Amino acid sequence: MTALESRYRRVLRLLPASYRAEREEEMVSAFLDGAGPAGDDARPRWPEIASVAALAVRLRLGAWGGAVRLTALIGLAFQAAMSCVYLAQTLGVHGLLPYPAGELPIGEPASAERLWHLVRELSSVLWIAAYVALVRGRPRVAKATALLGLILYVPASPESLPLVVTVAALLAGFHRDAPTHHHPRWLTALPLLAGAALFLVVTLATWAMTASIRSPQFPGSWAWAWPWLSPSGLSSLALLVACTGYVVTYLSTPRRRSPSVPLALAILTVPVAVARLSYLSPAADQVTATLNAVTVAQAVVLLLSGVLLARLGAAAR
Amino acid sequence: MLGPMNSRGLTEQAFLVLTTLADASRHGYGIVQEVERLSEGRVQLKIGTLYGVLDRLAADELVSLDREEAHQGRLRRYYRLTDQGVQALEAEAARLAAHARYATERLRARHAGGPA
Repeated sequence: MTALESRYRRVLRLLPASYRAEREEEMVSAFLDGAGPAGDDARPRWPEIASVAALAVRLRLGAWGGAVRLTALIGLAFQAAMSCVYLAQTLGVHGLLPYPAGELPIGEPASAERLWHLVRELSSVLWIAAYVALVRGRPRVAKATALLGLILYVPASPESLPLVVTVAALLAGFHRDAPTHHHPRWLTALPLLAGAALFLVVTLATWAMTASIRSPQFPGSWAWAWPWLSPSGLSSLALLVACTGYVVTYLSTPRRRSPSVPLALAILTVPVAVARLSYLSPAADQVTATLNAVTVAQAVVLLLSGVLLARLGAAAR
Repeated sequence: MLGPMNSRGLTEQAFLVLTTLADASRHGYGIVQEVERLSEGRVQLKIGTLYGVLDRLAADELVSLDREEAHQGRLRRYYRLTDQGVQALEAEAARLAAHARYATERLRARHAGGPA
């Protein structure tokens, strides 16, 4: 290796390690082609160094941009799946599904109150529309429908924090000059399938719990399961499964390591953990103490997973 | 930094890189030389800039890797236009040609004593 080549390689150390692993050899080749028969005392020119530094900045910021866009996509996918559950529950409450919902619509028939609640419940369809628009490469439509969905959702509690973060990521990440990304078509159907599975799980759990409510042992093991069945409980479960999946992939398939996926999952762990902690209440009895213990454990595991994923994401940049 | 594709079309650097690949696949320094020749020395791509443009063009699926060769013991990767890249280049060339035509017509009208 000539002195000039080693100087070029030193300049390329400005670039992220993963990018260098992919591009270093051809970039060195291009540099040396451009240098021609230069003497051994030749050095990389400042404009060349500046161009590599600018590329390094763009790549490092780009990793965050990709993570923010993926945060929006994952957050919307989860909300679209939950929206399928909410829509099915709304249809059930209004007697449009062939199963006993066990609840009645809010408000008197034909009252403004009932209409308002119905509009809010049906606004779930906006999240599905936003997700489909994003997957199909229509971020502007996704932003408009998600914003409308958020306004109708009326975010007022920490439970809505993951949704606020998702919409913020959608607005910030999909700017005019963001690179276009083509998603496979099957991704469009994913929340529908996940939503159907979630609806089945939530409905069966509700029926099972209702059936056991008269038992002297109630709530028994339900106190351990209940914290997983709220929206933020289900999103904790989904996030923990995704985090485990990524760590397994990270260890087993190094070529599939990416900075965006772990960073996006790490970003989402924070609002979900905060949403979980909002469920804590003063422990007056054994059941509340159990609920609190599970909730704290969820938040701690989520935050630890977030720290681990952030470190893995930073290492892959 | 603007990407090669944005709502206003291709950036000039991206347009020139795609143009160099229209007739043949080329490696990194080959593209740099050809861009300089096409622009009559006005655009001299630095290597860092070139790879930034190539990354974005590849992300937008306008260029792809054609082949790898060893040259004097060093790796050369050749890039080529994809079908989408050909379409994007044709659209941009037509857009620029239309703009040039409008400008020429208006200048001609101005010289002929039309509205200033």
